[in-house]
Amino acid sequence: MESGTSSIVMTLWRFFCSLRLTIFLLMGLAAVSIVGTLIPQNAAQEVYGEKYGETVARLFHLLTIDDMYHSWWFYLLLGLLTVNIIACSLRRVRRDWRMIASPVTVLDDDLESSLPYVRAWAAERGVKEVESAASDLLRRDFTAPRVTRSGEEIHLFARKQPLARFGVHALHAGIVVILTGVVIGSLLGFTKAFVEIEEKGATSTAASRSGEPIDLGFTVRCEEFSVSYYDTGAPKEYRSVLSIVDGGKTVIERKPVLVNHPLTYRGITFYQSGYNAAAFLFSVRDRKTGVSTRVDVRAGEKASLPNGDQVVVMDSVDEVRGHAPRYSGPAVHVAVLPVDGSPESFVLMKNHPDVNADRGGVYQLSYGGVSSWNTVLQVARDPGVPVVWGGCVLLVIGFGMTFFMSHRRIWMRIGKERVVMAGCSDRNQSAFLMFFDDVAEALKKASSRADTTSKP
Amino acid sequence: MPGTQSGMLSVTFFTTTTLCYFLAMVSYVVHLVTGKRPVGILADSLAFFGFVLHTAAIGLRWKASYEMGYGHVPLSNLYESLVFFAWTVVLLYGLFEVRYRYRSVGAFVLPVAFLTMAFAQYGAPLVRSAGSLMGSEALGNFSIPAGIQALVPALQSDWLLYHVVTCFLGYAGFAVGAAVSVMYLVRSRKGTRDGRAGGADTADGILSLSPPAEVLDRINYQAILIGFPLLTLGIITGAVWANYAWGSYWSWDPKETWSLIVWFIYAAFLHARLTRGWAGRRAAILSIVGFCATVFCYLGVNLLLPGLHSYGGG
Ligand code: HEM
Repeated sequence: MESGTSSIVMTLWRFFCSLRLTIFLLMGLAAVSIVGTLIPQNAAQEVYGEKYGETVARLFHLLTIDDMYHSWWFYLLLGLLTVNIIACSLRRVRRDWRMIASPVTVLDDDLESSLPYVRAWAAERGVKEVESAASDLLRRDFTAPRVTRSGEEIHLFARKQPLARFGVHALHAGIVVILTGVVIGSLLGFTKAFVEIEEKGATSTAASRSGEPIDLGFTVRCEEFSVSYYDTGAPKEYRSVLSIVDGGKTVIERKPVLVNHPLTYRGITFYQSGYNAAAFLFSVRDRKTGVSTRVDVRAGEKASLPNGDQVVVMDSVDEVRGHAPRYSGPAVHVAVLPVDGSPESFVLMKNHPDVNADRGGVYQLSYGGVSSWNTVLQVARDPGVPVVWGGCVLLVIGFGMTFFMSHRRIWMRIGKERVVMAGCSDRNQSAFLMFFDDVAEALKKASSRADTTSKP
Repeated sequence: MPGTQSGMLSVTFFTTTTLCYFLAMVSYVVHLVTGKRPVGILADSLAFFGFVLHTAAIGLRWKASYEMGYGHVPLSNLYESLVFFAWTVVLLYGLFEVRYRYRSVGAFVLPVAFLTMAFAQYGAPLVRSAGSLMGSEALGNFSIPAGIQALVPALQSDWLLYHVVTCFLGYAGFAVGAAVSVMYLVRSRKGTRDGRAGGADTADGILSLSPPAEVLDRINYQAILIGFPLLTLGIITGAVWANYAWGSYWSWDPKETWSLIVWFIYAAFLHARLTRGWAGRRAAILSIVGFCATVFCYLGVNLLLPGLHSYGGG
């Protein structure tokens, strides 16, 4: 019984430690992600029906292929990858830690035969002399060696950057931390909610993606909104000036929020996302008396003129150039509904008051631009974000350690007859080999008799 | 077209650069086939001269953007990104040539730079006619405007610079890896065919100057080892930027998803190599597959799939 469960555990452990699984999962994730970019995501059920037929559409829905990046099986793949990384890392961390905490400092035959670079030559000078030359050489060109005496022989061991071994662990840990942050965010946060606030207006609820209200717990006020354009008519800047009132106190006053410059308060972040016109300004001149009045027409509502005629704005643009290249500036498409007579509709432009000045019946209308804007802000709360960034930092540090450091080790065994030098490096082998050969060459010279003049 | 003096000059320089890369490419091929050293030196000189012009042209374009009152790094649309990509490929190739001293590799890398430059300048009509053949409206309206444009609000961020530079350096690593892999496959196929025919000397006939297969394999690995961390940084900086601009660091937009796909492929490459000993032919094939995915991520996504990124918009 005991051994039965433990063998299952061992099998599972081996399964999750396997790098074959890693490669399978990475390739699998790549493959299903491709599918997700080819089949539209989060579209309405009818869209799939039209495109692929009813049966396939139902199958898609059943397998969540219409929202596959949030499907159980996509999470399963990510979960397996996480367990895979953790299992693999646990096993290797133990090994690497042992290698670093208690390194093998004596070069015996087994170790020698397992190392990639070995040089040996006949010793022509005394063990002591060679040892001191070798120590000096290592101290000067590499790092101070540990010296072990065993019988007649002296062993030297020197290493550099042993921590390089942990770069790969930091890297993998970073991935796990990022995935943890993603889970935290999806459990405790929300994204893609929005608020729409008119200038001088305020709100304390946002609408979620599905339209449900989200209580913010404080009030956001839009003090003003403005939009500016390049000469070409392309948008240059959207700017909302926001204030936040919490518990009756104004805690943030008149903070500009632009695209790429969001505002965060109590974990909730507001992003400039869009805007639309809330009201339009018109100047209305009575053709008979010449008297002008100012009329505000709210978007989507009818406004009354002094004699009871009504005006409604059917459409508006900030820059008319795209529709009518000869003109520029803001324009509206208005409809006038006279008390008696038939309705008429026409275009008015702020910068070109003469166009259609004769239309509109009793009154001459001129368009004065948008008198009040609605700003549209995206709202998100994601407590996982700092965790994700922490994971990214770990990942980047791990990459740095993995690619810029290398764990290099050199052993020497100095005997009466022979000097053996061996070494290895966990990466950048060719550079290490060059260095290794230089050291070997220098030591060979120092240990040969030809070099000695004082020897009797 | 860019309106200022610097702008005009930069266009002339870009055209000349393209010509230089073309001539360098031809010289590298001749050098590889004939084994003549002077031709190799000529190829190097042409590539180097092209690169200097290329660098100057990017600088001039940057200057022109300030003269026009926009003032942004020239990395903001498809044209500018293609030009920058070609630049990073030549830069990286130069580094590898200095390190490994095998000139003949240029015969396979320079075509990437040349084709990219040529595509930036003359590629749009080609795509349009392909589009009308396929009946695709997006492709049919495709263009690569070379003018210096103002930045829309979403692109006005320092993260644009960090994101684009890291991504494209990563892509350049993958491009060099794939080019070397093609060379590896051509070489090893040549070798076996001639080997079967029993003519070991003729194996030296066509690709006499090709580096040994192991060296090509190592350059492939090293190039990907450079590309992978840079792509990782590119994805991270992109996520940071998206978090500022759109309020979410990841939204499975097709471009994001494809960059992740590319990332998965190269992660698989590194693990397969490290632990299952996938080197040589298999590594070369995987490297080419990875680069195809990279190109799709860069161009295909914008041409064929809808999304947020502005590059390549028709
Ligand atoms: C998206 C996921 C992953 C990424 C981006 C990643 C990245 C890397 C990188 C860049 C290296 C260094 C490669 C090299 O030195 O050439 C590496 C090595 C390694 N990875 Fe991963 N890895 C991932 C997942 C995993 C998983 C799931 C495992 C678990 C089994 C794993 C186990 C290893 C091992 C054992 C090494 C070798 C370390 C060494 O010998 O230096 N990796 N990984």
